[in-house]
Amino acid sequence: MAPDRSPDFQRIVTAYGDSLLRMCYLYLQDIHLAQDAVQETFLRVHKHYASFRGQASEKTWIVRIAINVCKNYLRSNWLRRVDAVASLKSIPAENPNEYDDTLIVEIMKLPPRYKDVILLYYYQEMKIREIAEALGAPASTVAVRLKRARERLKKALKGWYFDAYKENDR
Amino acid sequence: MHIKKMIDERLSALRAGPVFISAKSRRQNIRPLPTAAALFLCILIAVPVMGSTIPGVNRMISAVSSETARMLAPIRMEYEDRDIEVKVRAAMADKYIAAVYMSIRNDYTGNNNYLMDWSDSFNKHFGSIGIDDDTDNIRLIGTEGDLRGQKVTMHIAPEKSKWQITVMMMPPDETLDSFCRLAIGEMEFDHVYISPIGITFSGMGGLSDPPAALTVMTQDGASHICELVAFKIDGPKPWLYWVSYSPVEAPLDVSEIRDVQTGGQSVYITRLKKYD
Repeated sequence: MAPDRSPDFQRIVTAYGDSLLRMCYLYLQDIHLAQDAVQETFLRVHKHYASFRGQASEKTWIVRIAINVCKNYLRSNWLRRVDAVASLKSIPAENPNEYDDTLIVEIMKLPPRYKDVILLYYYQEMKIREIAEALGAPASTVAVRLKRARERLKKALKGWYFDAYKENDR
Repeated sequence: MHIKKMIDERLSALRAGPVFISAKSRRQNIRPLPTAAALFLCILIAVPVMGSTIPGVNRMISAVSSETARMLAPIRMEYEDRDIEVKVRAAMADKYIAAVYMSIRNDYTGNNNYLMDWSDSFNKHFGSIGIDDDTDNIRLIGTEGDLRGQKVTMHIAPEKSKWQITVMMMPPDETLDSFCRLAIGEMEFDHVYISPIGITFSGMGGLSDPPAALTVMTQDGASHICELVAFKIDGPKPWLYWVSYSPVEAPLDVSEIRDVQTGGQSVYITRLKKYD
């Protein structure tokens, strides 16, 4: 079925806004840039919704736009000296003592090509095929990157608690 | 623990909403001062006030170091005498430039019978003489050094002891710090900082001539010309560069900016409230 050509923007922002903002933050490691990225994503969604053909799911399409926007931002020279730990500390937590930021920090430290597959697989809960659509890469490439990203995380965490996360336990 | 749940709980403070698309206000909270600090502040304020009227105190101020004297100098935004009237309309410094907007009415304007000395704080001087009222509208721009929170004294005559004004270079209440997309020849800018006194783009790449002026459109439909006042480069290639534009007429209301245009084209600025 062809999608509605005039997007229900309120629904889209409500459905995807928070998770896109958090994903963009983990990707860019800067809250203001993440807000800019989400805003630009929604502007692009608004502008190009008529051309969305429904070949991928709406979520895959929007996540693809967000990832592309984040990649554009990463090409900027403004992001080179970002401290993931300091950045995360600036985000208030409801009960700071209850959170162990180790895993999130290690995800933030991953190179972009590994970070995007980890975020899309574990955080956006997308399938390999959907990630391949979102990234415009073959599914086999995505699978290999995911495997290597997991290995990196496992090494960084030294078998600490990453072992607990199996593929079926996102 | 589920990774998605962990991230959502840890980053629960990050919520997408209409708030984050507005210009970011950097207004600082004011904390109550302890009594001793308040007392010191009273003395600090009282001494210059007395100094403007009591010769002995005036001499005492002049005897201390120039930096202390500058700190104690009374703020004087207006000066009026028989044949000259000086008014400072705004004095502000952001993290890239400083600007003072002032007008000088002089009975003999046109004969250039007054001199100005702004103590090397400002390296650019723009002026225009009003057609009807013999008033100079002057804009002083400083692009070297950080003048935020500093006092600057300007002398409006060869006799420095007499005609002078002293201003506090206030940091802007509201600024907008954002991603942008602007290409000028080989130059690519990806970041913009907007304050009431200036629009500064920064980026990296090749070099070209930046445009001499920008146009800022505000919500009320008015347009404001901003002139190029600074172009700084850091190399080697690929060059890092900054270009600053200053509004010609008066400081801008950042929250009212709708669009920034160069050569008739809108500059894409992500955090600008364009679509209200």
